[in-house]
Formats: sequence, C-alpha cells, structure tokens
Amino acid sequence: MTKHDDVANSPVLKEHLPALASVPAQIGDPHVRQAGTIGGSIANNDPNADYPAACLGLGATIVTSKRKIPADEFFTGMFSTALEPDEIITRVSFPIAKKAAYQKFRHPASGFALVGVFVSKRGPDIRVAVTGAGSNGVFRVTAFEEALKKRFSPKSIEGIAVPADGLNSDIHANAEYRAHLIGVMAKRALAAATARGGGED
Amino acid sequence: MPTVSMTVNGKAVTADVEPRTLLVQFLRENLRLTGTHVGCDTSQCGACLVHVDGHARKSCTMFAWQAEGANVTTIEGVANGNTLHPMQEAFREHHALQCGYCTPGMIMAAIDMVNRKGNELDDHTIRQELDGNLCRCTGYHNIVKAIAAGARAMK
Repeated sequence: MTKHDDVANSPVLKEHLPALASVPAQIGDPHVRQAGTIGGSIANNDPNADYPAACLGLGATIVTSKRKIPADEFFTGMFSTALEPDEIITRVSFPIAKKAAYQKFRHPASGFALVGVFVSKRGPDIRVAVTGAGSNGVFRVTAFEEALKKRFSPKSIEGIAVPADGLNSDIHANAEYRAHLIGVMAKRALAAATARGGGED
Repeated sequence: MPTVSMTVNGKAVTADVEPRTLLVQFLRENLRLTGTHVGCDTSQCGACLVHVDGHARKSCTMFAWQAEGANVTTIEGVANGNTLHPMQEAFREHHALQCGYCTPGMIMAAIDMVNRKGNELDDHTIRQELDGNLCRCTGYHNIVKAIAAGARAMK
C-alpha cells in the first residue's frame, strides 16, 4: 500500500487532487509517515483518523483481494469495517473533485483529529464527512450537504446546528464542543475548497 | 521459531526468533546493541529510531522479520572507529543532551533529516522534523543548534 509520505509528496495528486495530498501531511511525524500506509489507516478505522474522512468525503472505492467496496459501505463503526477476516485492501481509488478540502482541529499532543471535516463537490455529488467526533466513527452531515446543494459556500451552512447526540465526550472535549467544532471546521474546509476550486461551477 | 537474517552495522546476522519479536528487541536482546532505546513503545518518542535501508524507522513498531534482508544501522554503527560521526560530534560540542536517553534517536533522526533535506537546515525545518522525537530534560534549543551544525559538518 501507499505510504503517507508518498501520498503527501505525489506530484500527480498535488496537481489533480491537492485536498487528498494534504491529508497524510498531518498524520503522525516524519518517521511514522515513512512507514504507515493508507490501507493500514482505513482498515484500522480509528474514529479519530484522517483518511476515513477523506475516503468518505470523496466517495472513494476500497478495492480488496475479493471485491470493490464503496466508502459509504466500508466504514461500519468504531474500529470496524466491512472487511472479512481473510480479506485485505489492495488499492484505494479516488474520483477527482475540483472543489475539495480537509480541515482538521489537531489534538496538540497526539496529532489525531479532535474533529476533522472533509468536504467535496463533484457535479451534483456533495459530501461532508466528519472524523474524530462520532461515537460510531466517521459519518456524513446530510443537513450540511442538503444546504450546500443550493450554493457550495461556507455561508450556506451558517445557522445550521449539528446535534450533539451520538458524538463523543471525553477529557479533551464534550459532545457539545465537538458539535460546534464540526460547523467551524466545515466552514473552514468549504472556504478552502472554494478558494482552491474557483467560483461557481 | 522462524529465522531472520539481516545486515546490522555492516555485519550479517541470523537468529531464530519468535514471530512477534520487535526489531528493537532483536537489536537490544539478541544482538546486545543497547544504544537503541525504548521510551514509549508506541511510536511517539523516537528513542528507538534506527535506519532500515537508509530510512529512519521506529524500531519499536516493526517486527524483526519485517527487516528480513535489510541493511540496518543503529547508533553503534555511525561512528568511524574512534572518530565520532559529525552529528555525534555536534551533539557533544553543543551540549545537546542532559540525561542522554533520547540522544541515540535524536542523532539517527538528525542524520536521516540531512539525508532527505540537505545540509542547510533552518530552525523551523529542524523543529518540524523533530515532531517524532521527544526530549524530557533539556528542551530542544541545543538539540536544534547541534543538528544545524552537524548538518553543515556532514557536507
């Protein structure tokens, strides 16, 4: 599988899908990024990991030794995936989205996402995927996605509250704080995505 | 038990080890190369850094068998006889340590940093690159100075 450093420094990704290249640059430290891989990260499906948000937020396809699994069906819960015991990830395929970005509120000690939001717009397919917050792992914010269908802009989600139900509370942040952060990080991601992808399309 | 073979500091080594043996255990317990330290055992602190085929790796987070056939360099392998490696000399010169526990990992990280980023390293780059190496004694000021000087001395 492809190492974090290779994704972060890929000239092809930097040109065509810089939002994806930006994700592993924020994982771990230089030595971890020379060892860890995208397949390892999503097979583990840590609820605070970055790559699950990128896969769900871009609508990736996870290719295994047996089949192709859409990201929407791959992540089944905290540290759980659709993988069977004798099945291994061989490839991850990403569609190119002109407007896409990832914004992460980094836990200062661990570097994991306290909340991370990946947004993308590919024609009519709009995705907002959140990691770090859900007690069942990565999830999509359909209320944001619906609002963004009118206009893909940070303004479109102003005033829409994310409910704290089903979000994690721990010593670092309670569920209400995480709910608030989802809105903040989503707006930052939308601003970055529209700045990167140009105006209306 | 499976057999693993690799080259460590230029010498071919072979041993029968349990499959779950970590590279750092193999280096410290089988080969008695105790310069490589274990701090956190969870990939955070960098005390266990060694070079595997030229890349810095945290040896607490890989199995010995994953280094099968590889060329491994530990802190014991960087000096040239009695002459310290320029990076070791820079750490000595700039007093870049207090208790010394993190120092082998710091030096292996610093050499890897020079290999990847070149001989002219600014403070910001060095501090960014030291993200995976923790020192709990001195703060990082003299370590950063030593790495900048050691990098230039490695030219």
